[in-house]
Amino acid sequence: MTLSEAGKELGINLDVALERFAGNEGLYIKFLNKMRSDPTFAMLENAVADRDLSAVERAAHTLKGVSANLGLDELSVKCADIVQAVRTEGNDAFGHMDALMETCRQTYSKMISILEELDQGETGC
Amino acid sequence: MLEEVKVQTQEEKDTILIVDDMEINRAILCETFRAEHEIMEAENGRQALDIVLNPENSIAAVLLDIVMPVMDGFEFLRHFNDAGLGGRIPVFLITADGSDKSMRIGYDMGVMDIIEKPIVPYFVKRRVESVLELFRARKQLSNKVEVQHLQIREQEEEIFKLNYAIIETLSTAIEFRSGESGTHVKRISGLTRMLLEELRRMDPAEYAFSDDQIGQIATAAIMHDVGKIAISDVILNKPGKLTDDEYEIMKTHTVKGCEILELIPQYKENMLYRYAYDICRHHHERWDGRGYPDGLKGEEISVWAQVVSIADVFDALTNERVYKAAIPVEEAVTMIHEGKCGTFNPVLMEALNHILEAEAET
Repeated sequence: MTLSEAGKELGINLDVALERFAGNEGLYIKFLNKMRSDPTFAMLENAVADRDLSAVERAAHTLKGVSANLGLDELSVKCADIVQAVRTEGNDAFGHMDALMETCRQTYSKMISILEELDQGETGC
Repeated sequence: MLEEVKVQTQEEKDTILIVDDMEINRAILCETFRAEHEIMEAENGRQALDIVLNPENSIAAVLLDIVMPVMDGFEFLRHFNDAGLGGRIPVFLITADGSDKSMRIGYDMGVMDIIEKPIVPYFVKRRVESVLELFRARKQLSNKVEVQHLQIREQEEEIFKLNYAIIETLSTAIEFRSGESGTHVKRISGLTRMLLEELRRMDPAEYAFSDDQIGQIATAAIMHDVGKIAISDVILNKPGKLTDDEYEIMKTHTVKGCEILELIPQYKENMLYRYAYDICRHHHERWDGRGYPDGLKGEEISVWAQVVSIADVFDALTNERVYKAAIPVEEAVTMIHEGKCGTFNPVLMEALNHILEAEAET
């Protein structure tokens, strides 16, 4: 799968995203690939399971920033919803955390499977 | 020095410190700035603090994430401010958390600007670079001010030296008229300084002179006899004893000196001339009130006038004059103590003894 195909599937605005890497496609692909081994989503899952409010906020916040920088806007928005819920509702957010996590997890899984299909571009900084 | 600074900022790239726990976020900022700037990276506030506190790194700006393990962005800012770096190195918060609360905390802690993730490289670059430019300009300006300050200090010193040289030259010229060597005024000035320092050492509370004050009084002492310019050669250079009338005229050199000093514009605002005026007028007063021109006694005579008068007498005794030969130091001291040259403040005589003892030892 080419970058533009993957971009279409993931809803990435490639022009905007590539500008953050000075137009360097290889570098962009390298960092998209890094998302596959990034532990932040697993940390979010664990934090939710532990009902650790501040850990949930931290992990969701981190994922929100990274995915936004990569142009993965859908994932970023889902993470932002979790951050928002934790901040405004506190522990009450756990009342509907499963629903929030489920939609986030779907987006994340879809992203990972598409990234696994992605052709490896040139790498190197 | 100013030139040096200019060259340095033009040739050396500014170093930007990027602080974020996520590699990808650092990479994006690195891409944004690496063409025109040196980049250093830190994964958390602790690492960033170590880098920024090392002056060798000379960090020009910090791009700071807030949420990080080990030490977060706000705690970094606290340490950064405690180290006195706040306001000296611009800090930009780069955060996905655009809430009013954290932006307010950031600004309250002195950050220059808050940039939201996802970043738009063009805007981040413009915002960071305009602040860097501001800081560069400010640094150059403050360097310039410092250079000018140094120049003014040098000029001030130059003026002071010139002033001193003029005073010494004119005073020496006047001394020449009475057939004395030009070294008399220098010796008086030196002895005055030593006596004042010794008095201060003996009783720091009573004689609390500052170094500057001692310097001014020692310079003023040079002018103690300027009034002699108004005394005719016949009296000034008479080898024998003066008649009563001649002595009365001779005594006017004190008041005449003051008249000359009064001609100096703004002399009253200048401490040097105020000391000189007092010394001119009162360096022939005596502790028992039997001196001239005003017959002041004891503490009525200023300490500096007393000091110059004992220095003057001691120097006159121990050096050759037109009307007398030089007297050995010990004999001169005995004469002063016995009141052969008028009465002096006992504390001053003690100070003179200390100085002479110290001289004899070396």
